[in-house]
Amino acid sequence: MALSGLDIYKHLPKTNCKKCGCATCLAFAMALAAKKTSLDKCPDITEAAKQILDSASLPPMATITIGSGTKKIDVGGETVMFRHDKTFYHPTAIAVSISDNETNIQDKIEKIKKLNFDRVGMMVGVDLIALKNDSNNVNKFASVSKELSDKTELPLILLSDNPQAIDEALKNISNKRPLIYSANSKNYEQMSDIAKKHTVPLCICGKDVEELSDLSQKITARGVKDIVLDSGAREVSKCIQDFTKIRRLALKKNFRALGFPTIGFAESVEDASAYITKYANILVTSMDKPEELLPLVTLRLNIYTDPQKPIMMEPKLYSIGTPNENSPFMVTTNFSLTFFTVSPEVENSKIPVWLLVCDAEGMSVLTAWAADKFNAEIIDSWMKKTDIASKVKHKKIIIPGYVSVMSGKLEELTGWEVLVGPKEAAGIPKYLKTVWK
Amino acid sequence: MEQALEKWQGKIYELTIGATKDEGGTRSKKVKFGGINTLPFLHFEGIVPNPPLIAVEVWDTEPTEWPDVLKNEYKDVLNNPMQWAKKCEDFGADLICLRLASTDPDTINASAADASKTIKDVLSASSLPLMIIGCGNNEKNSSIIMDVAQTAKGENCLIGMAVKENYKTFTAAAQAGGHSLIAETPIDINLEKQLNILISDLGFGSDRIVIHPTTGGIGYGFEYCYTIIERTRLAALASDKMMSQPIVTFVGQETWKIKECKADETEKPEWGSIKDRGFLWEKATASAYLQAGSDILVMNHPKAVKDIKIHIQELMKK
Amino acid sequence: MSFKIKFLPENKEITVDKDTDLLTAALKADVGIYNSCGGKGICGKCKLKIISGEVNRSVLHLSADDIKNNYILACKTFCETDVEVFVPEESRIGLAEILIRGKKIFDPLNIKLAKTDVSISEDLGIAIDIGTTTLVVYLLNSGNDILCAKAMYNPQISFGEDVITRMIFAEKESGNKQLHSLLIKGINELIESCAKETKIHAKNIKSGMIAANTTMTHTFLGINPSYIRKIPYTPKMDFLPSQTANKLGLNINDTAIVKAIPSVSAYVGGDIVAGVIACNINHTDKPTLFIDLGTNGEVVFGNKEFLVCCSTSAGPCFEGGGIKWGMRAQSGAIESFKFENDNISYKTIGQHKAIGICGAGIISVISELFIKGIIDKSGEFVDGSSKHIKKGEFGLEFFITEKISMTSQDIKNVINSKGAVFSGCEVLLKKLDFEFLQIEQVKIAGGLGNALDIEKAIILGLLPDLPKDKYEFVGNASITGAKECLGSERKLEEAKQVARMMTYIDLSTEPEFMNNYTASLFLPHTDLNLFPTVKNILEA
Repeated sequence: MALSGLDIYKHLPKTNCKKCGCATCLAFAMALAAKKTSLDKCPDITEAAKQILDSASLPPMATITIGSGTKKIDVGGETVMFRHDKTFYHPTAIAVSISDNETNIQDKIEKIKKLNFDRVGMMVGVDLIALKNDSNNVNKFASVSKELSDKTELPLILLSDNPQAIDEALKNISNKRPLIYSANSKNYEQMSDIAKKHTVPLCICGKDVEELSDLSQKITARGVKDIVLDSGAREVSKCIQDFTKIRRLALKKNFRALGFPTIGFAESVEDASAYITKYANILVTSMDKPEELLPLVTLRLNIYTDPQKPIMMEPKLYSIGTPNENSPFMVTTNFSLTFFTVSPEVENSKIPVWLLVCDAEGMSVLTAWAADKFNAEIIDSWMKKTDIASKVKHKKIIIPGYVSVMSGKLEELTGWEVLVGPKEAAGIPKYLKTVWK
Repeated sequence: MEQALEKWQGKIYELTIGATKDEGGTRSKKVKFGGINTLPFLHFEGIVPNPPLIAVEVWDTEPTEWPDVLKNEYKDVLNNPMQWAKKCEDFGADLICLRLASTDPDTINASAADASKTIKDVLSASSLPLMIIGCGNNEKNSSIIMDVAQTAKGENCLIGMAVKENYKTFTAAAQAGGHSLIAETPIDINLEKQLNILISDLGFGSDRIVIHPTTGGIGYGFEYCYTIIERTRLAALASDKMMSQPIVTFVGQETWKIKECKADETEKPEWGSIKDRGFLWEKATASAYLQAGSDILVMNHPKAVKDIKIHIQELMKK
Repeated sequence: MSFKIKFLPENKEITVDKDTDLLTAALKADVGIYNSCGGKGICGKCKLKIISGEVNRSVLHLSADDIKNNYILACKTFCETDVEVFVPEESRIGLAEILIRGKKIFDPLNIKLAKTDVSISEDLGIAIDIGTTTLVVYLLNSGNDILCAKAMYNPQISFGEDVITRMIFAEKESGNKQLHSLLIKGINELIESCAKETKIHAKNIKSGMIAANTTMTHTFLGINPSYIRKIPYTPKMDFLPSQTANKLGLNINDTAIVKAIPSVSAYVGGDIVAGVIACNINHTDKPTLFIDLGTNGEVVFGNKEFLVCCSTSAGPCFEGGGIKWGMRAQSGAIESFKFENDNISYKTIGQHKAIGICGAGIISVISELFIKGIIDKSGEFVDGSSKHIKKGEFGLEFFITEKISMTSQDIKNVINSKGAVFSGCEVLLKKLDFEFLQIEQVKIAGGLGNALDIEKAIILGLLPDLPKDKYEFVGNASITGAKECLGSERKLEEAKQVARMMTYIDLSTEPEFMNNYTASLFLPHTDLNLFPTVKNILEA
């Protein structure tokens, strides 16, 4: 069970020594409860207290690492049912599946590499390749997995319920730490041994949640620690319900056998979207077209955004439409919601605009102004950094209506004429059409 | 094994739209939605009495902003709301969402009488239950809503959008015309509840309100709306009666205005086929809102509508 | 070109150039004129009446009647000839003796003054409470008994009503110096007045204790407060600011050491620490909520084990600021209000003719109108619900007297303020996993008036819905704490301890705060279940 700040505080030395970086012991306790700091920062904690606090902070769902090297990926480790309760930590890892009957592996790899998109200055895309043993041939499976492992850095999932095929494939690539799939009621003893031998994570497939938890207990008893769960359901309705059950039992009942990440299989955008929102930690699909993956990775980004922390835009000069030297020049802050409210309205106006997004630590216009993170000096410095003066010849700057107070100072600093824009983004099209000439 | 059941106390209001001849209307069927007493599609712990519905948009004027990929789907009917409505009925809409876009003072500025005529036309052309929404101008919407509600009197429509600034007029109109009401607030769970309280304080049944918490497209504020809907649903299940209304999301509207569904292959080759991108995006958005708890999806692309209908049928299987 | 200006009724004269506005001129002439925006033409409070002479004025904030009767806004008016102006009662900042009710906090109205036969050589002390809005001074004898108590508006008000405006002012050239010297001058006036009344020598005052918010402590000591706004500011906890009187410019014994009670953070100051000391929260087992309904609206929650605090930036409306007819709790302020069958009755402080509404009155008016269905849950007037509602220049207004009204904007401001305070309380409690019902006592401090009706404040959603007997109005707890710390080294040590252990919660970085805040911008609250007694009243 998660401890509250006050619960933790009772175990702290209460010296308010500030060595942990917090102003008081209570502040430190609250930061601990919010998982924003770690207990080792306290130099004076007693051993007894440390033990109590450590055991209370054991995560209810394990975090499993798949792959090695720069592209290795963590899945699981979630602590809440709803993103607003805190946040979801490890975005659903998306795997594109390949058949070992595939004749042109190279082409397929190239195709998958392209499933990587720039979103708000961040690259998002496919995380894993899942190899299916459609051939039923042990050697073929091993050779294709070797080829994949050689030609891509993406971690692999090896899909075969034939322990021999898995074992053979792992002989070459176990150092890449692929996820192996799957152990079932018939093969789990062999699969467990293989997973232990090669120290790779093992996915368990039950015929329902009950069998799954039973298998999980048996496999854990055999010494396998890194586990991924599949309830065996394939219909979307069943999957959503099973994912929910597994997550609830793990998080709310602290049921260790199900305290592992889950895997789901989807063959349509709508099923995949459902699994991203409702509790698949890994998603396997054969869909491999950019138009199919783009909405999925974007949705995933949204769902896994920390709701307590605003996402920031990259501060820079954005061109909306194709602005020229006579186009209006507007300025705002780098709070993403601010940007996503302002930019469509500018687009609606059909007038191309230079939009300067200043670094205001991700705060909205008013908050940033109050905290002095969005002021005349900051705008001036970003105007210089982005060299707006070389891009327009009018020397006019439109500022958000809420911060009209800075007009004077800004004019003084920049020598530009400051125009006060509307307070709400909805007023932008009208403003640009009527006021800007 | 331990059970993962939650003991929810609350339940979403069940709402009916449309009125048949016996009930003083002219619709061939009525639609029912809401009524669920658990989170979306969790058949193992509660009752999901009605599938979520899909309303398809019909405009009273050609939507000039729509990308060609979408316009092409409706190319023969874009200037004919009657045929447009019929078409939607044919490909499987559960209800028609008539958008009185031409009343916008910034565009055609059609009058209340024009709007009334369109409504009569659409009612005669299609026998589906009707959702009627105004243009983007709250003031104009308030000025025509009385006529709109009177024209459709007895048809038990769902009319909108009642917002903080005009809810008194909208409530009076819905009350007088015997309609249900969409209450719209800007992505804020408290404002949402406050508006519901204010509307029901005017004597309007809180079981006749549908919440529109604002819809955000994927990549464009989706997560805020998703979370507001989830939180609304959780509050309802904890028996907060002022949050227990069904929820509508405007999935199509928020899909077809974004760059990802407009930019063609020459501009964005890395995004794949423009032909399929939009409807796939619309499907992803619809699916995610279903999981949040949306009871009515307002959509555009026929293919997305068909696929999501099947998806809903799948989700309704126990 | 320069002109002579005469301010009536004080008869003070000054000569200024043509570019000096009348507000600045008044300041130079030592005429206190009320204004809350710092002379930016925003608040519309610095109304004066031109008796003779020509001026160049703007008509901003002036009604047709005002213009006809030669009223002007001082901050937006410039002379064109010599002029004579009259400063009306409601625009005047004067000595106000109303607020002094700290004493033994349980009996706020009666300050037990010691006998004034002070021996000629007795060492005396002063305790000073520097509020953003009010200054209060206690003159104390060697036994720490109160010889005399005086209060006045903080003269810095001429530079703006809240601490942020003053911090910005301090950024101006010599701005900080002006803030400092104006403050010292005000305090000296209070000291002089005390000395005169008790017939003592100010030179015998040999020690002083300040309780003030962080910004005021800075300007008192002459330290520029402008950086408080800018960086994550953590005052050193062991730091006990002190200075000699002659360095500060205080007219007491030159060598007297004046100490300030240490602050917790940029927005929770020594005044709040003093309040905790005065209420003995650091000695009780009972979970205690302390709310200072001043301009900054600080909230403290805790007991001897733990203390958390926050500043809610409530704004000055419970002290009458930002309200069209708002005023301090002074004679003539409406302090309670009743509404029955469209008939109004009210009480004023001192039974004088009504000249405005004080904090307690504001709470009384709004909650009464809400309960009687004149205001809806969103704070809007219900059109046609009362004959006293009339359409004014900026929307509907409810007229309490022929002249004095409550406007829609006033109600919005009050809802914002009460929402800030209530949601601040909520966040503090939630932070420690407490429920309101676990609070065993609530101490309300501030100068909003003794008539504060707890039940009405609950109806408004300002205070948590707890039994009335858990509440206690403690008046000016800040100066009580300062007095105790001056009289006892041990208390001062405790104050340091409290400042050190109190955990400051920055609401602006609390993810839940905005949600709680918008939820509280409703009457009484979006979640009516938090206010069961109000729910009963509404459903009755």
